[in-house]
Amino acid sequence: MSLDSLTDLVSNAVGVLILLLLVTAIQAQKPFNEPPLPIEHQSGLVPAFFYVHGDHIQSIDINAVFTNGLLAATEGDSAAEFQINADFTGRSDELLTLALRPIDTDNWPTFNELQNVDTPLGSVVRDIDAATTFAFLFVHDTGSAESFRLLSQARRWFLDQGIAVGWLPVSDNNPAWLCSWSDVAACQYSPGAYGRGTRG
Amino acid sequence: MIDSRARHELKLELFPFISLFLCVIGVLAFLQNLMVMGEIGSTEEAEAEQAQIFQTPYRVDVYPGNILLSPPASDLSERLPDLALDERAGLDAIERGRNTILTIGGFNLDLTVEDNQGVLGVLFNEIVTVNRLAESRGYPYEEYVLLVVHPGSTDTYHMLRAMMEQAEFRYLRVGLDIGDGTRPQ
Repeated sequence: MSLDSLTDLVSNAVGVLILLLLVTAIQAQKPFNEPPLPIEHQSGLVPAFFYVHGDHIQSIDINAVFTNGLLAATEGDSAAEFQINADFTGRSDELLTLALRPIDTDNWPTFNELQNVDTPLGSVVRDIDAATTFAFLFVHDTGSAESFRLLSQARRWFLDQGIAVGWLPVSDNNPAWLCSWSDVAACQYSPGAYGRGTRG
Repeated sequence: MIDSRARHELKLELFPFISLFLCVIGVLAFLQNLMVMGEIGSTEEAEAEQAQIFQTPYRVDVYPGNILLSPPASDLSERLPDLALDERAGLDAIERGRNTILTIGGFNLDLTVEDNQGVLGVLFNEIVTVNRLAESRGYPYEEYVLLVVHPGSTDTYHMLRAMMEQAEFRYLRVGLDIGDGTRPQ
C-alpha cells in the first residue's frame, strides 16, 4: 500500500471521528430536562428576593429595605411601619427582622416584564449570577390561584435559565420577613428545587 | 544517469507526514474530549440517581385549616431488606398503617384540633424511624416531607412548619410544591 492511500484512509477515519465528536458535544449541551425535586436544601448561594402578588411580581431591593429600616429605627418609633419604597412598607419585628407588606401591587410588573431584559425587573434578573445567587420568591396567598399560577410560571422560567429557586407562601397574617441571622431557621432562605448545577 | 534516478526516488514528500501528524493529534484530542465528557455525564447521572430514585416523598397536601397525608407506596421491605427481627416488626407495622391510609385515599387531619397535632407527630415519627433505620444499615433510602401548598392554605402551612420545628422533626428534609387547589375525589 502506498503512503498516499494510507494517508487517505487515516484522514477519512479521523473525519468520521470528528463528526462523532461534534454530535456528542451537541448532545452534551442539551439542558438537564429531568424534573427537579422540590426539596429545600442548604447551599452557598445568596438569595435575590422577589414578591409575587396576584398577576404581578416585583423584585425587593435589599439595600433600600435595610437602609430605610435603619433610618426608621434611629429616627423614631422602631415598631412603627415605615415606607421602604413605592412598592413596600416595612416594620421592625423581633430578632431584628423586617416584616414586609406590599403596596400598590396593581402597578407592579407582570411575568412578561420579568422575561424582558429591557425592563427594570428584567434587568434585575439579567444581573443574577446563577453561580452565586438564587431567586427566592415570597408568594402572597390571597386565597385565589393567581399568585400560585404566576409562581409556577416564574419557577419554571428561572430553572430554565439555570437559576435555582426557593419560595415561601405569605399572607396578611404571616407576612414576608427579611432577616440575616444564619442560626435562626426562619432566616435560612433556601433553594427549594434542584436546578442544574445548583446543588449546595 | 542511474545516480540521478536513485536521488529522485529517495526524495521525501512533506505532505503525508504532516497529514499523519495532524491525524494523530486529532485522535488524541478526540479521546481526551470523550474522557472529559464521560466524567461530566457520570457525575450528572449520579446526582440524578441520588435525587430521583432514593429520596421518596411523604406527600402532605396543605388546605385551608386541614392537611391530607399520603404516605409513599409501600416498598419498604424491598428498600430495607436485611433488618433485625424487632426492626422488621416495627417496619411491618408502619407499612400496614400506611397501606391502610393509602386504601382510604389519604389521611385527613384538621390541624386546629389539638389532639390531631399529636397524631401528626406519630406519623412524622414513622418517617424519622424509617430514615434512621435506612441510615444505620447503610441503605440508600430517605423519605422527605413534601408539602403541597394549595391556594388559601398559607396560614395552615405556617402552623405546620412551626410544629415541624420540634427537635425530633427538625432534621427531616422538607420539599415545597405548588398545589392547584383541587382535592382528590
